[in-house]
Amino acid sequence: MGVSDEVLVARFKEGDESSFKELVERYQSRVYSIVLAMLGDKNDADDLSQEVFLKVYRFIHQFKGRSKFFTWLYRLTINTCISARNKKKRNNQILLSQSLKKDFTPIDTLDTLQNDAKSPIEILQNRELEKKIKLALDSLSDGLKEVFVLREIEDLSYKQLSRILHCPEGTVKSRLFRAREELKKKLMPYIDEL
Amino acid sequence: MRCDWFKKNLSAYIDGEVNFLTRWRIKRHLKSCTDCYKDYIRLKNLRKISKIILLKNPEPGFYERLQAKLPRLSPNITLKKTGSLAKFWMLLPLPGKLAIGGVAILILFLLMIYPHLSGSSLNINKFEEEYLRSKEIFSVVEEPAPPLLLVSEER
Repeated sequence: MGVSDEVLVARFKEGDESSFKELVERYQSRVYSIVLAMLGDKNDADDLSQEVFLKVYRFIHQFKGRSKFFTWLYRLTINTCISARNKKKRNNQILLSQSLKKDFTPIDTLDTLQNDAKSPIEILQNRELEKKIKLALDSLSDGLKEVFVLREIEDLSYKQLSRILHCPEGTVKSRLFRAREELKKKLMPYIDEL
Repeated sequence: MRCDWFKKNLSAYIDGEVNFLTRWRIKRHLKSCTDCYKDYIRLKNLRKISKIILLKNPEPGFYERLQAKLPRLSPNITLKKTGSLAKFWMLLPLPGKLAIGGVAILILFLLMIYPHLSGSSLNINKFEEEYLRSKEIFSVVEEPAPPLLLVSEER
C-alpha cells in the first residue's frame, strides 16, 4: 500500500518536492476529468488542471489538515473551474452564447447515431455520441454539474460531497436527483439501449 | 403518488445512500413495479456511460509541463529547504525509522551500560579471587600482642 495523502502533504510542507510529484501523479487524472467535464474544452482543461496544482503548490501551507486532502483539492478544483468559467463568460459573453447555439443539437433528434450502434461498447466507442453526452452534461447548471461530476468520477459519499460543496446532504441528494433526471430525459434513447 | 416517492429515492438508492428500511422498501417495490424497474435500469446505464465518458487522462508529460511553471512561483513559496539527511529521514517509511531507532538504542546500551555490568557482577571469577585474597591477608597478618604492663595496685 502506498503512502497516505496526509503523509505526502506533511513531507511536502517540509520541503520534499518528490511528495508533491507523487500527489500530482495520484490526482492528475481525476482533477483533469473534473475540469474537462466542467469546462468541456481539452486545451482549457489541461491548462486549468495545471493551475489547480500550482495553487496546491502555492497554498499548501493554508491546508491545516482538518479535512481530507482530496476534499480540499476538489474544492479548489471546483472553485478554479467556476472562476475560469465566469471569467470566460465576462470576456466573451456574446461569442460564447452564439457558439453554443450553433453547436448544440437536441439529443433526441439524433436517431441515426442510435441506429448505427449495435452494442453498448459500440455505442460508447462512437465519438459522436460521446460528444452528445458531453453536450447534455454541458446543458446542466453549474450546481447540478459539479455534484454529478464529483459523484461519478470519485464515487464520493453524500457526506463528503456536502463537505466539498459546502451544502447540506439533503441538497446534495436533491441536486443529484435533478441532474440525473435531466440527463435521463436527454439521453433516453441511448440509455434504454444499453 | 406511490411511485413518485420511489422514483425520487432511486438516485440515492443507486448510490447506496438510503437507510435500511428505505432500501428494503425500494427493493420490494422494484420487484413488483415494471415502470420503476425500467427507471432504475436507465439510471444504472446512465451511471455506466457517465463513468466511461467522464474519466479521462491528461496528455502525457503533465508533471513535466507543470514543473516548468513551478520555478516562476518561487517568490511566493514558503517551503522550508531541508538537508539531504533530513530528506532521507522524511522519506524513510515507519518500519525503517523504527529499525534505525532500535539499532541506535542497542549501540547506546552496548557502549554505556554493558561495560559496567561486565566489570562488576558478571565477572564472578575475578570477584571470587579478590574476595579470597582479601580473606587470606586478614588471616595471615597477626599483630603481636601488646606487652603487658604490670601496674601494682598498691602504692
